[in-house]
Amino acid sequence: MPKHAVHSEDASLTLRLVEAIEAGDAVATADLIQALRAGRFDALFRAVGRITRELHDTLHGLAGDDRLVSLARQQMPDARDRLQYVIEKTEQAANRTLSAVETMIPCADTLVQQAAVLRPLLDQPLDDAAVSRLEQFLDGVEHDGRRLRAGLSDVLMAQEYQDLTGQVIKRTIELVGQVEEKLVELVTACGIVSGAAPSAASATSCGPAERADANAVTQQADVDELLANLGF
Amino acid sequence: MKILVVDDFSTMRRIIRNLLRDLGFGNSEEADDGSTALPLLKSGKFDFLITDWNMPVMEGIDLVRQVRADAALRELPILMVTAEAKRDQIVAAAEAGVNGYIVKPFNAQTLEQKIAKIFERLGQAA
Repeated sequence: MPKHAVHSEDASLTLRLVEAIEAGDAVATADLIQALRAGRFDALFRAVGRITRELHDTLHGLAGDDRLVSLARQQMPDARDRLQYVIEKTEQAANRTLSAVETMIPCADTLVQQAAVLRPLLDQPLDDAAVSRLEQFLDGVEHDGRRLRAGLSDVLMAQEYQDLTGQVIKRTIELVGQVEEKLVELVTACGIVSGAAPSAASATSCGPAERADANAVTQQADVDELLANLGF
Repeated sequence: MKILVVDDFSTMRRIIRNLLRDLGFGNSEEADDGSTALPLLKSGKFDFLITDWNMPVMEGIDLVRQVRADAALRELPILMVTAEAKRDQIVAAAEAGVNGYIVKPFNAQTLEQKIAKIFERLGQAA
């Protein structure tokens, strides 16, 4: 009901109330006070009713949106599982690579050390003992070389995670895009005024600053400079 | 020198400990967040702390504050190695009392330089 209608109704009731009071009519006064209050509550109830109905219709419309239901009920939980899979897969790959590297580093160290130890043998004519040591070394080179080869191919194979996780992340990005679209629709449907400044969500976000904002430093050199300014 | 490496990702702990070993620091232990690191620090006689920032339960910055507030640990040198790269955060870490700050991704050379610099400064101060 329009505002002025409520007011004119109130005004007429008020006028009659004044008349009733002036006339000393207690019964009419009580009735009119009751009517005035009831009128106000009626208008309030009607307004609440209207808002409730609109909200109900909006929510009903949203509930009937199959895409939204599917996003909320299946695809978001599914995306969570998939992202969990990405964490597991990348962790596995990193551990596999690290294990390979950890076995290869001692191999390389041994080769370098042994070569350095044996080099002086070449300063003089090789006797049988020297030849035998060099042969032993060459056996070791073959053995360690094969281990290095195996380790490196393990590192190579561990990189397959990128393909698998890349696909999952790509699909998740698409899903986030769809959710964003639906959220915008929801916000519009609820009549929330858009154009408000984005909140400072970044204050609580964490992780690498991939797309650096003005507040982020991207290079160690920048960090060093900032710390130097602070007296570090 | 005994070093405690604190990071919630086991792979990052492994990488840092491998780099440390290459740099001649073979004696290191690890913890996966501030809350597990703190008891280790209190009982373990560590000479150096390397910590990430963003971790569950107790974040690195809180670990730094707790260490600085502990009479027995307050002198412990701390290097923060983290992906957090906002100016405010670096300033906050400095205020909390870190001795050095490295942003991920980083390399062995940076780690070596920062550790050397920290001990150089501590040597000057002593």
